[in-house]
Amino acid sequence: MMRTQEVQAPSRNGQREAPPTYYRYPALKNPPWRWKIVLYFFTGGLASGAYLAATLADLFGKPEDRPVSRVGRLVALASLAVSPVFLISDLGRPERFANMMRIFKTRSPMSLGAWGLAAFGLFTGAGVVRQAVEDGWIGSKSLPARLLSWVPLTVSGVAGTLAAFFVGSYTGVLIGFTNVPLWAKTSLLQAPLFLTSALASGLAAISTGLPARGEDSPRVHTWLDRTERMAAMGEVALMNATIVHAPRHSDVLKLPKYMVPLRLVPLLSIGLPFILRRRAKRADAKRARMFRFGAGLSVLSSAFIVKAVMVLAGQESGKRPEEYMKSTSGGI
Amino acid sequence: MMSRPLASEHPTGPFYRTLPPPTMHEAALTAGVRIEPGTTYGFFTDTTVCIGCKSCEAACKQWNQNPMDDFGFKGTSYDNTGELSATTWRHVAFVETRIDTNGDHRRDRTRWTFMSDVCKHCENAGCMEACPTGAIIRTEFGTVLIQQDVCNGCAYCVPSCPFGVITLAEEQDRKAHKCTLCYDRMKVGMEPACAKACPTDSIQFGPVTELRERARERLRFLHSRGRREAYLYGVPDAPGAAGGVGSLNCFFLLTERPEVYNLPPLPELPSRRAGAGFLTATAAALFWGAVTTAMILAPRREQREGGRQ
Amino acid sequence: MAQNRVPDTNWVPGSHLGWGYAWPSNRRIMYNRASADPEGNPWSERKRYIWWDAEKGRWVGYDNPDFTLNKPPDYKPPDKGSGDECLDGKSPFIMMADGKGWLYAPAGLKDGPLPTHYEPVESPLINRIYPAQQTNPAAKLFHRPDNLYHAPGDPAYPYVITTYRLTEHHTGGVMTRWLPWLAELQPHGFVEISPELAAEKGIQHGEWVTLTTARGEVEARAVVTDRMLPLSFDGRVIHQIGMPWHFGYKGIARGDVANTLTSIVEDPNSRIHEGKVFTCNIRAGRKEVRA
Repeated sequence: MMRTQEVQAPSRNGQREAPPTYYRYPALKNPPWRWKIVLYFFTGGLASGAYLAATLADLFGKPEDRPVSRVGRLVALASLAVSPVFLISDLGRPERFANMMRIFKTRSPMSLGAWGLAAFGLFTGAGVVRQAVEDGWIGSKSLPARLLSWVPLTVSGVAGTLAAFFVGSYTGVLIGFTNVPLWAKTSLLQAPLFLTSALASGLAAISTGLPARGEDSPRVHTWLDRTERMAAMGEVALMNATIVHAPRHSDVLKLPKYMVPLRLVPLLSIGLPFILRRRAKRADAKRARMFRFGAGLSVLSSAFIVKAVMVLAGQESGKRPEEYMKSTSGGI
Repeated sequence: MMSRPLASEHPTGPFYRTLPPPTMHEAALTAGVRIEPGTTYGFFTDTTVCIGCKSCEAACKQWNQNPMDDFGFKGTSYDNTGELSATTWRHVAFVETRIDTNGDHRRDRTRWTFMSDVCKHCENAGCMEACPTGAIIRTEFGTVLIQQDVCNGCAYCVPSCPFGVITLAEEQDRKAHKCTLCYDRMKVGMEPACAKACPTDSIQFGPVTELRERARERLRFLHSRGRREAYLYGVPDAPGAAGGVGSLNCFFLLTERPEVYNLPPLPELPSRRAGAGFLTATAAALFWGAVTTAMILAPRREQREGGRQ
Repeated sequence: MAQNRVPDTNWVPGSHLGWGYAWPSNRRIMYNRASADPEGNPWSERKRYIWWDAEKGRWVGYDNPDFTLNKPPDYKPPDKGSGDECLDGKSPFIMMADGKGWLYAPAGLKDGPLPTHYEPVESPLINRIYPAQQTNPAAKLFHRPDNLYHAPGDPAYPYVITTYRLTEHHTGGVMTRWLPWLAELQPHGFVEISPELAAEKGIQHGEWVTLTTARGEVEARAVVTDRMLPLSFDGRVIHQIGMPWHFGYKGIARGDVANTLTSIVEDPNSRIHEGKVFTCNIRAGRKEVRA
């Protein structure tokens, strides 16, 4: 289909017509962010959510919550070990990733994020070392243990929590800090959405990992499941708010390839886990673990869908010049 | 202004050598501008004298040795380039606008307008703010430059440009590229290749303040001749210089709506949204931190079916 | 001296005599005596170019005068003489025998003496001014089986086609179609038609079309644009098709050769063939492949 020009006469009856474009050539350029960046967002969020749950459980929890801390820290470490691999391999010049540490630019979410990720990595590592000392993997007289003993748990816990919150939410600010209509015009919703999704996925990962280690305790699952359900409801609410608010500026979310997965999100994050966990209560121990495992996977997949749709739909929105021109016309 | 010698006084003959000695100030001859660090330079592109010859596009490609890209017949008037890219730093847009001739077949029914698009070298550049490696800098000539030995190809500058200029060269070196305002030429006192090549002086190079004066003078002249649709894009308090972007060092004199040239009427600098974004992030963090802690601390019961005990 | 690169100052009238060199004596406009009126003054201030400076007793200005330097405007030639001394001071066209530009050419033209209107050899119209003489009677025609001409108003070839140049390519395109930076600017042979003609023939913008004449067939991409106007004569609509003629079958930028369509007919004086305007037919779709 050849492009043809749409040049329109000025509006005659005061109605705002769609603004013309230059043969519908894109007015913006898209970054080449696809699956690697989606996976970076997902694993980074997962790590931050798991770390948060683990650290808050460590700070405020009861003895029966020890497994949550342990599993949470391991999940955070595993996820965080993988996350930067996706980020770095997505760079045009991966060997130059360390150039991001040349400067600290407060006006750039990506610069802040690079440093935030580094700090979070440090605290996650510290958490794992603590766990290893507790479990006896590392002697308490060893160098890492002695270094850590200088830092009280509260301090590293609080600082780590802040870093975790930052990593879980900055990616939302980052995409809102562009000109892409879908992201820019829903920018206030993105950071809370990403953080909520991160929390839900972290909690789900922990409750999936607990049965795997045979450390299920129904009393632990009480607060884990409840918090996860609240986070999932928050995620669905914020995603719906985005879906409702976006069409004023961009129609991309209405495309079937995005709308169909989005319709699955409430089911996967709230509905299915609820059903599976009720079944788990009635089932025998082995089947209960299976059901909990499935419930956790369901929440994880919905969090993945949210991030994938937001990143990919944004690129679609960036290709639509009429949306961008409308959003930069200021009503004239 | 130098008084120009009359032809009769111009020396001729085989022994008269007019080749000037090597000069560090060729721009003084070709553009009437002596390039000095510390002054902000840019372009004034007057689309009313552009003839759509694409000399600027070709000169830019040749000087920078950029490869041919996106080869193919596009059918969009005489424009087979389409848009700026990592390897196209000047792009001539061809706009055909319909004129209402009341069915008079003898009259032209289109207006054919040309516009040479380029990086705007904004006063507040979205790309420069976004860059996390510090590769994008403001040079001593007030231009925005990507240091190619620092850029790591994260492509965050790409969606941050409100004009869709800067692009990642995905098939070549996977770094970000855009017009450099011929930084390498300016360093040795030469004006940018496109401005030198332009046969009608549609692209004028010089200090931005001087260019704005010339542009306003030209606008006054056009308005006095009845061309009231002419306006400036990218000077302070005009379309293009809005939303925190500040003014554009490479600005234009246009005669059609900005959208028709693929320019946003009121672009916005993305960083304006960062503050509000981080506020909502903080609010969400506080909320979920509190909720999770409350859940942990709340008295617990065994999860039983029905849960009414 | 062709490498001289001293331009005039910006924004000052002149002819950049220090930039490059124009053979034979760096004169930039021929017959520039005509830029001054018979008295030797510029026709207006805006048109000032060469003028007579009585003080200096010579012609001065922004160019090398194409006239005897010290011949005043009121010079009258003697009764007997030869060469330049027989041209008076008011005659700028110094290479003509009488120093004047000729509209009436008693000698030297095969189809003189006075220009008049002839239709091209191939035309959809009758010559309105001389219905009895449709085309130039002195035009050189070559009647051969592979060079058939269309009769005037031939309904099989009802559209006027005109060929022209693009900025990006040069003549036959042999040198420019291979250069990547030029090829990407105009990558493919195309023809330009009006929306009315496109609607009439069912041609979509950007699609392939085939043009035919009695000499051959070519295919090209169609650019449907309002810039092409249907012409109207006596209530009849005559459509025109525009075709750039730079393309060929080799190089990076390719297209069919426009000269496949043209006939060989030579202008009687310059022997240039009439490739600028002739008639043709057009249809949507590609050329049929002949086995």
